[in-house]
Amino acid sequence: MSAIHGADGTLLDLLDRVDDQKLRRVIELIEASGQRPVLEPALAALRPRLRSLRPRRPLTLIRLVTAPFALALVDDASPHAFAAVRRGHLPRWQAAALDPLDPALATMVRELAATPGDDEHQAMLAAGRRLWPAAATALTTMAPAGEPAEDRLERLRVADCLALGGTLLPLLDRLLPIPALPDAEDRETLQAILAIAAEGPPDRLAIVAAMLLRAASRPWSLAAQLLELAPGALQGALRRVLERLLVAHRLDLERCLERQAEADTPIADYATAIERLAAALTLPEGTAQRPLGRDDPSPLRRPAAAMAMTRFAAALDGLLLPLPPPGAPARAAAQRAREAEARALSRLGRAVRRLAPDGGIERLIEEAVERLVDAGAARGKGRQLPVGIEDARLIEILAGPDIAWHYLRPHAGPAGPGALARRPPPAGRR
Amino acid sequence: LSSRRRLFSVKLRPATFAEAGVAAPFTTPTVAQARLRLDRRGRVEIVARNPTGNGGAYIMPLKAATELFRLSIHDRVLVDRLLALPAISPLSIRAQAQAVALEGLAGPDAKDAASRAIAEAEEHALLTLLLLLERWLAEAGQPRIDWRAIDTGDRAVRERLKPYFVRLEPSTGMTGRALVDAVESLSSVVAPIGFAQAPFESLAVTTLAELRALDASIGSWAATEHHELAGIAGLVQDCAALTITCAEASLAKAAGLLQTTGRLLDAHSTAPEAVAAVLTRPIWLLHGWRHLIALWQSVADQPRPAQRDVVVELGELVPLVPLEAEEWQGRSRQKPRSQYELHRHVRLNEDWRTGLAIERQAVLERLQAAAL
Repeated sequence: MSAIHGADGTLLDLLDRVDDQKLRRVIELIEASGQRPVLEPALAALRPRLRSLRPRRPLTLIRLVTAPFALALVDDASPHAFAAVRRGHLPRWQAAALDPLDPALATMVRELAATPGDDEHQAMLAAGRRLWPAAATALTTMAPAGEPAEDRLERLRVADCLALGGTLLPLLDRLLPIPALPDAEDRETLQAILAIAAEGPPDRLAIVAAMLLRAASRPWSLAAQLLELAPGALQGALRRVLERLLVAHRLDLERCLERQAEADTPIADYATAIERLAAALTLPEGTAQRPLGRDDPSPLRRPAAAMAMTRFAAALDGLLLPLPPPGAPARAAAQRAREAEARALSRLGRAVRRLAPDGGIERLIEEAVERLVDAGAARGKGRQLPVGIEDARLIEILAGPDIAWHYLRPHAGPAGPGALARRPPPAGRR
Repeated sequence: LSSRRRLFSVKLRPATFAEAGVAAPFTTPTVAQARLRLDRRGRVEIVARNPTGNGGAYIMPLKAATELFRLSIHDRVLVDRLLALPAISPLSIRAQAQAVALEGLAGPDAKDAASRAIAEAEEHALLTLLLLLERWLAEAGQPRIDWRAIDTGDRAVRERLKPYFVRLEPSTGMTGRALVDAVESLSSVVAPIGFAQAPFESLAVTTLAELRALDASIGSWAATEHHELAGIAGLVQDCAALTITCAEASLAKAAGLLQTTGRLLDAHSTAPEAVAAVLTRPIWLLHGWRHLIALWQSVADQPRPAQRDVVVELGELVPLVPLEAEEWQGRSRQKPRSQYELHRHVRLNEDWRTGLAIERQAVLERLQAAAL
């Protein structure tokens, strides 16, 4: 067991415990040292946090050569490798692309990548346009003895992505993050991407569609839009590819659901995972649900919502535990943690509402508010204030400022804004 | 750069600080950093950015903001307090915001920060009072303060200073109580700008240093940025540079006034408003920048896209130096029409374009009936 993999006290456990700012700095140091590929398997557990932290990464040759197929990467444990590149194979393809590289070209690419310029993406394109064709040729021309057919396909897939990098990446950059409802300009970009995908080897359509769907927060919605935009001659092939990809997506979502049900992740990470699920399983407002082919992910919504509700209720219970007594040094830290948790719960609640609008989140929140108010009343016998400011802030985060204000108003004094004084008390409460 | 020129044009720069108003630290996103000012009737009105993100602003009586916006509980309490304020100024709003934050309504971090800021402001005011008194005693040829007997942490320290004020009674013709009141009143205005001998960095000096750092940081950031965002960063820099120039000049002018305590108090007793105006100019000029400085610092370690978002927000929030500040520096300026003159004041049920009463609708209905 390496120092980074192991039990308590190893680097990974320490990284898991440090705050976001420190974690970002450590990862930036690892990136700058060029050790990220070596540590990548061990850092996989931190990937959900790193996705939101987005530490700065130097534009190394490794990063440059990976960029054209980064969206095609899937976890080794993923049930489907259709039109994908397994993350575990990454070092192999990186080495195969870079080892035969002419040293003079490598130096030129490094210099271009390091040139301080307008923005990193431009630098990546400038350097990549020199690197990617050579890397694509290296991968295409190599012929390892006894190479399994599956690996050969993947190698050629990577090579094709590298060959396309110079034209495809600027288009993807214009499009990402893929909007829920593409406007005219986005639709033009999607059409241009489909035109590129329709040319070249037969695998290209699948890999380009797979990259688009993996980048989309709503793959089902995007798949329907792609079919609308595709020229008639491409429709049949594209439909077959999309149906296969969506099956893989649904299976991935099911795996994600299973993992989340078992995992004891912090509530903020859990909320992020459920938000992604909700985005993938729901359509933007104003669009009709149109399952593509035989694959309909909507039955996943109910179990996902039920699972998230259970976690929501448990986390809410923990949130309502009393604070340390007033004046205790730990009280401010406890309130800080409580508010952070309430914000994560608020996000989780919104995601659950999208998954199952009648799922009962409102009832849980109402009950929580009542418990806070009752506990406040029990603590402050004879006091006229239904809740203290700390509890009012929790109510504000969970149930909104109007309800919080209803219970806090005595704090503001009798001269509160007239409009609010005239408002009826929140429904369902005394 | 056309947007930069447009934003920095004479037309959009407010004529006076009263017209620009004072940014209020609301926590509701739709009214964050909305500006408060007095309307023609002397009521507090709020100037909030257009919530759609387009140009223009929503202007309404502050009291009406509670009807139009779904304010946080912090903001509802703050609005209550602001409505009760006798005057709108950067320092009065800062004091109210600190008082509300101290209750915990903006969360535990803001509560701690407010507690520290209030304690620091009190200490600075007391030190300023002591320094003004010390210099005044020297000017009057009186024995100096016995510093060994003074503990700034002692609640009764002001009582212990009374004998020193009494010694000044003969030379000023004022009672000890009146002298204490005058120096106390001045010290609360002088402390935020500080002066040469002060053993602390005042709010104005700290903010000015941070603003210079912001200016430099934005400048180096923009050097590697593309055209449009570099233009917005340039606008922020232009505004920062003008603010720094004006604030430095205003601090120098205030420092001139603060050279002798006796003369300062004479001037204060004859023209208190004029003295207060000179002493508070640096604060008015630097006001609003602290939020921008904190905003920029919050993304110092963030990736470039997050910094770009913040630069756009800085461009929207950047305080434009009112034209009257140039007159303070002795520069002549083209007399612009006040925005008050350009505005129409529209009453309830009145059409905003024509000024006609809402009966205009009846006219249109009649026209339609004739045209159908």
